[in-house]
Amino acid sequence: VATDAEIIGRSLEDPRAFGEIFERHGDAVLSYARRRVGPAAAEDITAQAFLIALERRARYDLAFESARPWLLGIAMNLIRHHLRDHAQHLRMLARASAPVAEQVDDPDRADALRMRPWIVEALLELSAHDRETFLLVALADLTYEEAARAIGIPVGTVRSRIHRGRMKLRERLRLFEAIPEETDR
Amino acid sequence: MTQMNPMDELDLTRRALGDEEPDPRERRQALARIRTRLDAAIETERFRRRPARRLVPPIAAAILAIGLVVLIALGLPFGRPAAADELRRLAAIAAGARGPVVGPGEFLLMRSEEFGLQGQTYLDERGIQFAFNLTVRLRVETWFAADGSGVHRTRWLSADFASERDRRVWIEAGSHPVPEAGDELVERFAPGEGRWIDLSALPTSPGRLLADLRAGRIIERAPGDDQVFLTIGELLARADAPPAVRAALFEAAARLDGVELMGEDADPLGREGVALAIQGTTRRTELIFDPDSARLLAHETYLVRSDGSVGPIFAWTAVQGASVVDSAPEPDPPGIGSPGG
Repeated sequence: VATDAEIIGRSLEDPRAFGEIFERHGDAVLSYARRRVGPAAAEDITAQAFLIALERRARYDLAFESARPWLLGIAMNLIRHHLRDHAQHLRMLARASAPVAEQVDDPDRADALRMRPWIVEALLELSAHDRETFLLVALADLTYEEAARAIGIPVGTVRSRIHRGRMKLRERLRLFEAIPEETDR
Repeated sequence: MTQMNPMDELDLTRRALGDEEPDPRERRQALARIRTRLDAAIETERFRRRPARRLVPPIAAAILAIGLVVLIALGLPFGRPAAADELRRLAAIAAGARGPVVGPGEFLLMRSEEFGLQGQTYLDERGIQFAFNLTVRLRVETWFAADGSGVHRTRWLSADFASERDRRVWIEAGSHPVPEAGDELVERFAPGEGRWIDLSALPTSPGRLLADLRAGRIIERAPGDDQVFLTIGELLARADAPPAVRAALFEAAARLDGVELMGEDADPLGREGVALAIQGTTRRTELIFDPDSARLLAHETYLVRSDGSVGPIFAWTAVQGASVVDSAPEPDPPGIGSPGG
């Protein structure tokens, strides 16, 4: 099976080969975009990400076999521009009434849904760079090395940003644990 | 008391913010639509890569020459040279205009009115995500300190559902509060955060600047000179652009393919100016300038129908001016938005 790098190399001669890159990673980019901006905008963001990738594929570093981090990095930049004020977007999410966690079958998801306002609050307190990195790793399921490639920063910086995100979440969730269940939230 | 599982914070965030998997059919359709757009771009590129014919057959050359003579004799306008001339005239004015100087403890206050779509996303009690659009008119004020930090204040002048369908989705999602006229959001930003771009760091060589714009190194957008033109408009809207950068932006615009001089036009606030436009496959961007000061009055985006005709206005920003002030408002306290919302 050809690697992404080989296909991208081939697409420099025959652009039609690039369609295979979309077949392999279109779903992953669309999923990440959906989680960040909702289904309506996600389709356009994903399309734009692949159009930009097609345009810039000559600059792709063929030493990297998988193109997924590169594509997610492009999508992340588009999303950052799309959400001119990301904090407002997160506030909107937090403001929506909490889903009834009791109606969710998966107990881990039910717990996570109860904690959502606290998680959003913790994310809002991070710097924009820390938040973007944390959300890229959390929502696109990238390794630290892949996230570093996607953003174009050293892997140590990714580690520090994720560490700060974890600490902030832990700090906030300690408050959550301290709230009695009957409290209206 | 709810016992928190010892769940990894990244996993927890994914579960809390990740939406439910969409209907597989809906997902397949979305992917198919994206693939269609990508295939169209691939075909365009294949067409571009075909070697051009080096010699024009003599008869065709003769017809072309006669055609040119007739057009010149009739005095028909050639859009691009006229547009380029006007942009270079504006570049010369911009190069000689002095920008505002922000001293220590001072802020550059920039004001604008904006109109466009604002996407809203909610999760209902089942965890299903709903998305709908509002058409909003905003008053936007930004206070920039000399170090690039500042305060951003947005006031909603109006907010309506973009369509009846959007209203129905909102009701389905649980009719949560949405922004309405009179709402206000004040946020602080650190240097380098949010919409801030350090304009003083942009190249003043028009060739390099245009290359950076086309490569998406300044603002990342879909490829195409119409998108570059919009970026130039957004950068020229900033009152703190150094004169040399403003001049280079005008010169870069003069080098784009397909810019037309539209002549006199009024901006969305009714101010008269000189308009230049470029049309892409789905959108048309128009920039309106004060012909005397070369200041951008407004940028507007229209939808383009599949037959190439210009459709309704989609978004606009009208720049209302800038001034140096010695204070900025206090931002809203960090955390979750207003209670009861």
